[in-house]
Amino acid sequence: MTSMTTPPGVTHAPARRLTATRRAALGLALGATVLTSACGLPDHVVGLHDAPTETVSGAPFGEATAQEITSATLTEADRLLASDASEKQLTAIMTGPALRLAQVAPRFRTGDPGALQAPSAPTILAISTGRAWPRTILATTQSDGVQRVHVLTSASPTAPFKLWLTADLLAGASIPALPPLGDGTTLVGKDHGLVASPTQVFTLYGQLLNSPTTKASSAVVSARDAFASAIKTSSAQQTKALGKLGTFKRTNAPIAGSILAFRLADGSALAFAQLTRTDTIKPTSKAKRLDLPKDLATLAKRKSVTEALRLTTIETLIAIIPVEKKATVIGAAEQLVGLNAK
Amino acid sequence: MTPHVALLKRLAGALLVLIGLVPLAFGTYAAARLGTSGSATFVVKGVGTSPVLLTPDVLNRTDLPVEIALTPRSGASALVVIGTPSDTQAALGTAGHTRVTGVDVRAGQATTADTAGRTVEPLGELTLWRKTEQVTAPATVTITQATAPESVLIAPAGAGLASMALTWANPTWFYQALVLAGSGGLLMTVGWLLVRPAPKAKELAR
Repeated sequence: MTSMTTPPGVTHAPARRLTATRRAALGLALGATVLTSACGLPDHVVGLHDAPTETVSGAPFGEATAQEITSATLTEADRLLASDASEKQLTAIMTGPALRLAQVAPRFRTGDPGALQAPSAPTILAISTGRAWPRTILATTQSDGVQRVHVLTSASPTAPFKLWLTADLLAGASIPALPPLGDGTTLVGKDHGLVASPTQVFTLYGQLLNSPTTKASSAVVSARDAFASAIKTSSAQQTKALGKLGTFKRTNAPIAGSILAFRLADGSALAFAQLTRTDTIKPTSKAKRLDLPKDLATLAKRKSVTEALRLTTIETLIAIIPVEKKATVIGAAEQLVGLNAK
Repeated sequence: MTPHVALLKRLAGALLVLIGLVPLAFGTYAAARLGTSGSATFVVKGVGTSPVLLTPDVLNRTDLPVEIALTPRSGASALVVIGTPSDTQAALGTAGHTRVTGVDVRAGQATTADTAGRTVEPLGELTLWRKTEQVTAPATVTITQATAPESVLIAPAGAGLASMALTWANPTWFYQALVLAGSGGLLMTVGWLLVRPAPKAKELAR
């Protein structure tokens, strides 16, 4: 037995205490090592993590930004349209159909078209979805009881937003619900899923307004709106007034690159387009000449024509194109842009 | 205690001394480098007239704000634009630029990669940016993580930038470095205790 073999007066107590201390220290050291290793991984200690991924769906910017862009653009457009702006100034702020109308010779402009922006700030209806270009903003303003719809577009990352089109809604018309602003709105492409593509709709609508009419009705678009009625009435009146002294021909055709459509919440589309209307009046053999009305005589700088009078008008249209039923025109405006008298 | 056990203890002690030396040295160095504010600053070398792009891979890897310190050369300026990564990259297009790819902790420098290309388009008038800032004197632009992920594009004008640095600050880092150094010191102490010869048993008292 140990106690029997240990010499009297000899003790191991200090050695045992030291061993216990060493064991405790060893355990503590190992614990510290484990602890240090566990949380000592540099990335973990520093708080490094993967960078969050960018969300590329939905609108590329918010309503406030869209409103700021639209307001600034419309204000500048108003300023330019009210002044004798240069071509360079106009192209800096407008493009497409809006620029086409802004470039109309002053002599063809009648009356005050009213400000685009005033008096209220624009309301943003839609922002195109995704991160690609072109990007578009759909906005509306109210001025003198007329609701105007504006389309702005940015062609590339380094191109500013420009006013692409402005059109007035017809009295009593309204725009159906669009997707939530944050979700963004898709533009209608080739895979349109509508009763007909926007190009087909506007082409057929133009044909319905032709005179003499080549198409009495269409299965995809209605021509019973106020604008169509006015056009058809004026065609009939002009034809009747000329009688056997002259011929009247009216054609309407979409302008290439001037059609754009936003997808609505229910899958239908809100489409915009510009059409060229050409009115041609020719005297028949029974009339040596045709006297022009005073306003046209002023524009043509002659009182009569012996060969033909050709009037070119730009029609800016807004249409709702549903998935199944007939498309309807809810907005329209026209502007005489050219006159040729011989 | 047998001689074998004593030898093993000494070997273990020596090992602990060696293991403890590393965290002690690194922790002490890191604490001294970070300071009590816990600021880690990395200099972006080679800045000048070329645009500098900072992407989320650098800006948004922690939950801390990033301070970008810019010093334009005399009479020069720099336009700082902040936007979404895709918009920033699209605006930059194929323009030549310097991209900050990361940081080298030991060197205290940011690592960069240069891309050759055309001159960058004017950025100030674009409607892509969440924020723009024109810098004409030494200034600091702070990028928070609230709107992450974001990219920053710095377009120098004139003589360009004299210097640029990125700083992340977290006081906790200083104390973590101290704990690391302390852990290393503890390991070394224990190791030394094990290496030290055990006191011999006292002789029989008189």
